[in-house]
Amino acid sequence: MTVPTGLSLYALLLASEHSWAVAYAGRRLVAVVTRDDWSAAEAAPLARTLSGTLDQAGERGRARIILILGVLAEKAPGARGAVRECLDIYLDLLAVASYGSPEYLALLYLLGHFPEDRSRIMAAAGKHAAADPHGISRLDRTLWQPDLCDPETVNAAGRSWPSPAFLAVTSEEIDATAGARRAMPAEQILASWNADTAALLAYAGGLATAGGA
Amino acid sequence: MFPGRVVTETALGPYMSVFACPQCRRGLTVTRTSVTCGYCGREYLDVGEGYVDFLPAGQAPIKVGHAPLRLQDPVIAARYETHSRPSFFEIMGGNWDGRALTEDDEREYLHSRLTSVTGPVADVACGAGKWTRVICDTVGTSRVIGLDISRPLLRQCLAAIPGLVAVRGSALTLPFADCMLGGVVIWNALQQLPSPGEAIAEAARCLQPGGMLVLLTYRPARTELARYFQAGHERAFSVASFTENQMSEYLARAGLSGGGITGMANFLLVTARKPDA
Repeated sequence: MTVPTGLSLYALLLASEHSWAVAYAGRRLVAVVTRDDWSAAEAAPLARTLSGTLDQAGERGRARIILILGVLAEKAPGARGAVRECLDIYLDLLAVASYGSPEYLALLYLLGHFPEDRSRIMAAAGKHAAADPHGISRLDRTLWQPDLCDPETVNAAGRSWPSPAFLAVTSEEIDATAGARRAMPAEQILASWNADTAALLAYAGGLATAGGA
Repeated sequence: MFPGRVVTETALGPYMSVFACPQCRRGLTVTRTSVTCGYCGREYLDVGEGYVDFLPAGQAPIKVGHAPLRLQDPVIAARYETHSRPSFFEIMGGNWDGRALTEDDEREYLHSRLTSVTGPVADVACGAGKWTRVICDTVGTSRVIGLDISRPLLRQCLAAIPGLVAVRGSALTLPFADCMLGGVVIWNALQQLPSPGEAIAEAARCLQPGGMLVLLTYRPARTELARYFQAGHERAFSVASFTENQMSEYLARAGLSGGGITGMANFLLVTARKPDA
């Protein structure tokens, strides 16, 4: 299936050297892909078109493309694989991104959607851990797959937002509440874990948006 | 901090005309360790932590899910004011740089709206008490009643404000008699209540003629991306945002008027008044 002409044009415009064109195309694409009733069938080809424009876009355009790719990976299951095909490119971009830049913030949001690639992602993100402990610990937590037999999962559920590093839960606190945690049903722990993950991704995306992505 | 502290007779006593059974809304009789409804016979215990529990087990009309669980978690409750609330302001209120609504702005708003209020003031969903303190500083601690559903937060609130009367209760079935309160404050809480319109109507029921409802909550973000992430947060935490029209409808249905609905970024600051009889 090909991408509808309008969306293709907007995707290509994000690589424009004109800031007004980047801003306009970004607004139009966002308006479409964030709509609840948007047809998911268009998502995968759009993701490939967007990924293909990354190497031509300027920093502002790349940040917006990365953020939209994250939205596609999140809300369109059919597009997630297409977005993930370019993981190497995202990791290369993260390696050179400036801490706190719109592109950096957008990459942390996008990469949080691929827990199966956790070790590669965290290896690339580790260089920013000293400068951005909160952002990197948030990314690490979104990539962590829960194991309900692991006390670490049980004790961390519902205690990660807005970032584990920011909350800094102590071992004394964990010990003091471990009994109550063990008494909680597994489905409650899992629901809380998943809600935390969703909230962390929303926070990362909101932070990137506010940061100019 | 309050093991064994029994407050019913001493602390609740002066307010007995203000309180009512949350189930049948009739008057209560105070004893040393509980209050009892003289009509339906329900008993509400002083749990020995400094507050009377108007939500016995099984009577709590609370939401289930992530956010209520977090509110009952002492680890999160201990970080509510310093960690959770500022971050919640960022994603829900769009207050990423902290300047759209500063703490001084909040204090000024509460102070200016409550200065002229007469009679008792209920701080519904008082939380850890940081903003209950502002209400106390404005009208005097002896006129303020804190109410929350979270036991860990109530304990923190009582520890933070010596002399405060606080109770455990629901915003949807307030333990107050009709037309007895001079003010009701619902500060940064309406968004997490299961039935916001009912909560406003319930507050209006308890207000005396001329009484004021003052609240802070959120509106939907104006740009698509910001709204997308705000909505994701709303789903994760089972919270809501309200358009100004929705808020106006809630107030009108509750019989409140003179509503001032303002707010910068994604905040909604609301003041409404119960008309004089």
